[in-house]
Amino acid sequence: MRLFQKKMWLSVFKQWLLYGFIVLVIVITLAVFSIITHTSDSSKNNSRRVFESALWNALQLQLQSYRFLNYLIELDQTATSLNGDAFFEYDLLMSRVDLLREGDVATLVRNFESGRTTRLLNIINGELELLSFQLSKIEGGDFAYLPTLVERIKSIDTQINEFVTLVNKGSNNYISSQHQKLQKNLDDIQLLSIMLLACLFCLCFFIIKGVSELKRVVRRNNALNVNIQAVHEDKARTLAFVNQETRRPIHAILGAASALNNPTPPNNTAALSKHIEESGHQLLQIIEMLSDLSLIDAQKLTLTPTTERLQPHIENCLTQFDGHMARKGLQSMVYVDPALPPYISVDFMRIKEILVALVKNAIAHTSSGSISLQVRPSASAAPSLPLPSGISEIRVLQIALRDTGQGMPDELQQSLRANPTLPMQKEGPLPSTVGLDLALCHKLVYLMQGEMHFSCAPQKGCEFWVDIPFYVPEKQPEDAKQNALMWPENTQILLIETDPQLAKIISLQLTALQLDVILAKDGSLQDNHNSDLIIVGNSPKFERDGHDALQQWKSRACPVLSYNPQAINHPESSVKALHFPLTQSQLERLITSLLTDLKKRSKNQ
Amino acid sequence: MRLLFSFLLLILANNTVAADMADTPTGRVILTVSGAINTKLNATFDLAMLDALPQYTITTHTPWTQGLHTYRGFSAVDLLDHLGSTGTLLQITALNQYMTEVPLSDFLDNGAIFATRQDGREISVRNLGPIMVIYPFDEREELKSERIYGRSIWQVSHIKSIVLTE
Repeated sequence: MRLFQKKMWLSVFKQWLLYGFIVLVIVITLAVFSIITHTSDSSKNNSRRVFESALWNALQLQLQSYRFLNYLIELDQTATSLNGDAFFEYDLLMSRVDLLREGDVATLVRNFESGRTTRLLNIINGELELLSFQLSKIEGGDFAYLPTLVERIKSIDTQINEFVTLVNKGSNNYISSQHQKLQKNLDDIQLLSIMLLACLFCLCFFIIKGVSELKRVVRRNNALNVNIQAVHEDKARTLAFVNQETRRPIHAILGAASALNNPTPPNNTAALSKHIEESGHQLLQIIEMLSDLSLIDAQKLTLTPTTERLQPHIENCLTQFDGHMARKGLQSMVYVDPALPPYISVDFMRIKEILVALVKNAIAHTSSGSISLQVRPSASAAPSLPLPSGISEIRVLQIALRDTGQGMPDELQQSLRANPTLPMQKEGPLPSTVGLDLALCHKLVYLMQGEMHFSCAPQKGCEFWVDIPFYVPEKQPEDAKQNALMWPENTQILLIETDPQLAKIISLQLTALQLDVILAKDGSLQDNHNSDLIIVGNSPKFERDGHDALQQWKSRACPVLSYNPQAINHPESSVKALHFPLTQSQLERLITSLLTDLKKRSKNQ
Repeated sequence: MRLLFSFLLLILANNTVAADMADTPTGRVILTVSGAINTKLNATFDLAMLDALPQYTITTHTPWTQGLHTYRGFSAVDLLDHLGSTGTLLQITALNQYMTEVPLSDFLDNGAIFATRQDGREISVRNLGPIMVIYPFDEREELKSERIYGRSIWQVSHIKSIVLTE
């Protein structure tokens, strides 16, 4: 959910980034168009033709008026006709007036000095138009009109001069204003250019970022493709693995069913039925494990902690393998440290799966010897998690499982050392490399925010340490309170056991029952006569000294417990048998019974 | 064969132009040509003589007239051919003594003409006639420049043919 929110945020960020990019492109486009427009305007403002033409034509008007006047003054008055020359000169003059009254020049000149130039030009034009009558007379050879004509042209000179002056002044003002506009445009262009440059830098940044993002996406895409391929391959491997795992129990079921269906039923029908049942359970377990693995991989497996008594759960886990271990002649025992709260809140189903996987692995790699299971408080720090209601704190328990087998292969050890909390090892060990049980166990441990460590020595066995956090309920139920002692203090137990691991676990179990333990780790059967109860374990000396020892213990009515088959099956003994897996509850029940009887007998005596 | 026929037609046309064109003006002289021409004196032309030269038409706007006008007139190339001139630069003078220089290439490459008619009518002096140098401004945008505007002289009265040597 959190990841999803993160992606949403990223998506919104990218969306804004896209909007920013679009805005940037629009700004760049506007800046470019503005620059083009301003440049174009500047080009127009810079065009000198119109106002230069105005000034030129004004000066040409003045010049042409002088030329016309000069022509009239120098006119040969003896000529009978001028052949249109006078009108030719007149037209030349009038063409200058027309040029100033038409087109762009006229538009420009019209605005000079608030239209005063236009008024002057109209006066000049009107005056010149009025000359056409006298001019036609002169053209016809009547030179009497010549002085008047000359005089009138001279009189226009003042207006023409003033007109030229005003046009000159207006042109200068116009040039100044155009220069100002030009300068403003240049400033605008400069500003726009800076803006454009900044935008281009931003665009470059976006492009670089975009390209790197694209590269990243391509890389990610390639990686995803590789992952997809890997998933397909993994799926094929998984299906092959499922096929391999389920084949054995299915074949077992089919074989037993076939034997039962035989027309001549076999003698061991009960055993076959039991076999079918076991195989069915095994198949069901495999399917459940596969389902759990899939759920873990899909991050859909949710833990459902329940508050229950820890010890029976742990003992039951080991007890369910008693048959299996008995067939291999393995000795097993379990010890739950009383330092742990009797009732804890944890997903017991997952704890059981972890334990089952570890025990199965231990059985598989142990051909003879013992398997011991300890559950104790861990020294690891508890993860910081929010506390649910009714929970006082979070602590960590450690499951330590030790076997005396031949040890695991190096390849299996290497695969099991994967730590899913590290980025490169997220997948964890694959079922095809470590087996279904251990793969699920490994994933479950890390799913429960625990850790898994192990140590292995060839021919000496392995020891697994699994740390798992658990919740401590605020209130322990009533039955969690320890019962009053059923035997006196300082009750001594003699433990004869040469296997140090077994001796250690049984000692711990007895100590937990507040019994003093005297350990005969060399297997010696010598009693110092102070022991209230004797536990006979593995001892090479039993064969030689066992009979005498049993006789001696019997004579002084000392109860004897044993899991040594020689002691149990001794014809003259009253040894109470201990069964594997040796659990605290089994020991407590038997010791309570024996010591209570002893107490009663002592009282009677 | 086709080339030979075209060449013969061209010679015939030139001869026809030369034959149709009177040697001396009968009307008012509107153009004088001097410089690198095959006569010792200046060559003078009236409108009829100029009309006898091959005529070309340009329809365009100009900066100094309003609206679209059709101009008709002769090319400097034909005029110089007629005068046997090898000039490459024309020094053109207007009635107001304004003078400008126009390379002959403008008449060859840029399609300029000496216009004697505006919208089919003679151009009066008052309307910037009788002869104007007109470029096809509307056809070719690159001609709308200060340089070409400066060469677009009107009220043309005199042309001096100059041979430029490299």
